[in-house]
Amino acid sequence: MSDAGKYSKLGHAVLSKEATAGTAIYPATFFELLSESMLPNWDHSDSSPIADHRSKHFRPVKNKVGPFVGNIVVNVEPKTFGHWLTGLLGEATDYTLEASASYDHYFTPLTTLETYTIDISPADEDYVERYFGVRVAGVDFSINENKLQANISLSAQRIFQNARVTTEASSGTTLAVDQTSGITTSDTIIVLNASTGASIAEYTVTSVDSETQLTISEISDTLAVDSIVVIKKQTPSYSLGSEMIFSGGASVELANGTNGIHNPTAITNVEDFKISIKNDLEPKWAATGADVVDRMPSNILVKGIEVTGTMSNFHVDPKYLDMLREMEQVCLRFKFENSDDLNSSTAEAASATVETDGSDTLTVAYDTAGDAGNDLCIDIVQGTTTLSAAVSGQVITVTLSATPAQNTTTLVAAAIDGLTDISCSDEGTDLVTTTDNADRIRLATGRDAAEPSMLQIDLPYTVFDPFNANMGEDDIVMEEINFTAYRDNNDEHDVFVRLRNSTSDY
Amino acid sequence: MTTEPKFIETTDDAGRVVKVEVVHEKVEKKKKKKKEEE
Repeated sequence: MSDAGKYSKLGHAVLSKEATAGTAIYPATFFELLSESMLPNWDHSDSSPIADHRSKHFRPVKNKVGPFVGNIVVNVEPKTFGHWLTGLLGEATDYTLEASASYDHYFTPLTTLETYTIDISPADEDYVERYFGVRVAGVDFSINENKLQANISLSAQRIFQNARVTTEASSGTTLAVDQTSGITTSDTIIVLNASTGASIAEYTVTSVDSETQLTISEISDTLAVDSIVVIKKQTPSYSLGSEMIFSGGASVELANGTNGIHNPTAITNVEDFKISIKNDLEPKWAATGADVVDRMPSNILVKGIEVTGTMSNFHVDPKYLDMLREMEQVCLRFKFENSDDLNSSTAEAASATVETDGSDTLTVAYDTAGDAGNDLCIDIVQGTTTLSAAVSGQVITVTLSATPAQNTTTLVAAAIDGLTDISCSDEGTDLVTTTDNADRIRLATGRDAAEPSMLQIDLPYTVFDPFNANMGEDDIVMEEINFTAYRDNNDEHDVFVRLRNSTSDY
Repeated sequence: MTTEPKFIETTDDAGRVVKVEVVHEKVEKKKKKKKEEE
């Protein structure tokens, strides 16, 4: 008899967002993966004193451990991928396009990142390795055989790989172990014989009493000291969309100059691309106690974000070389739409609310229903003379009067409403101020009548790194353009990611 | 003395309104002019 129990395809992985960073929860969202390389680095260090011997490795000492790093590679599909974006950039602003059918999620880099609990079941084993306090250190997007792939770098603050029984138990409901961090009251544990690895019994967890004690279902077997405790795997259940593809499913758009990202033009010679979004993370260890879990990082702090990429295209004309020469602002959009119909029935116009301080508001809307209106935005700036509203490209600029009393919602609405293709209505007569509208306001919730799932990556301000359209014998002249994304001071971010799918929130 | 807002529109070559400016005209001055004309 021969079975496939050790075959990697029989494994699975499941995740959930944590309520408190570093406190495990019972994960619920199963996702497909292509590979994983997580490493529980139970490290040791040498204590090698001068003591009448010449051994370089005299005595091992338990080193601090973690963060537990590695990569998970996935094909990008629109449903579960929202979790990776939430870990990478922070919680999205969610918009309901049509209830129970279509939702938009706008991601921009936040200063607070969400953490995850991730279970990985190796092949057909009955148990999982549970990583918790998992930070997304980066995502590298690339194309592999036309599929959009994401190589996700993870940094886990803690792991529950297994625990050991510390006091023999053969009855009752109390089990003493050397680690409970990572176990939840929704879990079932399996106790294994330390010598043979064979299962002795399974117990449900009633409560996690302390770092070294569990209350479990009635013990009816002898659980010897050093018996191994593992977390039992769940039965997988998947809710996924279709894979995103490049040729036949994506478009690349480009514009140069300020605010170009709000009105980019499709370009047709991009054959390949890569985008790398990286969070700089710094683990911290502290003296937090004497348990196994205290060897792991007490925290992982967030530092900077960096976005870079590459675009490969065959040479058409020298305009990209000119952009390089002038160090121009190049706005890039990579937009993937798959075949998942979100069943939205009617087109709706994009809109936004201005002056949302709780008193009176303005509602600005694009006159034409459809997704295109979502590219419009509104800037409220303080002027020195009269009140005015102007539109340039897709940017509406409201310049407030130097006389505050003239900036009522009624007058501002009338000014905006006078612009072609824009409508604006108001409630009340509150004064519009730059204090209440400090940031650029983006129109949202515009939708087409029939929409597929969509992933859109906007880089509003990239600068090309040096390249040339070099020749080789018998070659098409190619341009391999590396670029660096800078923070756009109008949109106030380096990268904006929009995910449209049937998931209401993450 | 009161004022009334007046909306001044600017159009582009295609006839699209691309800017609306709100200026405030003094109402009393207009009334005085009418009396003078009478």
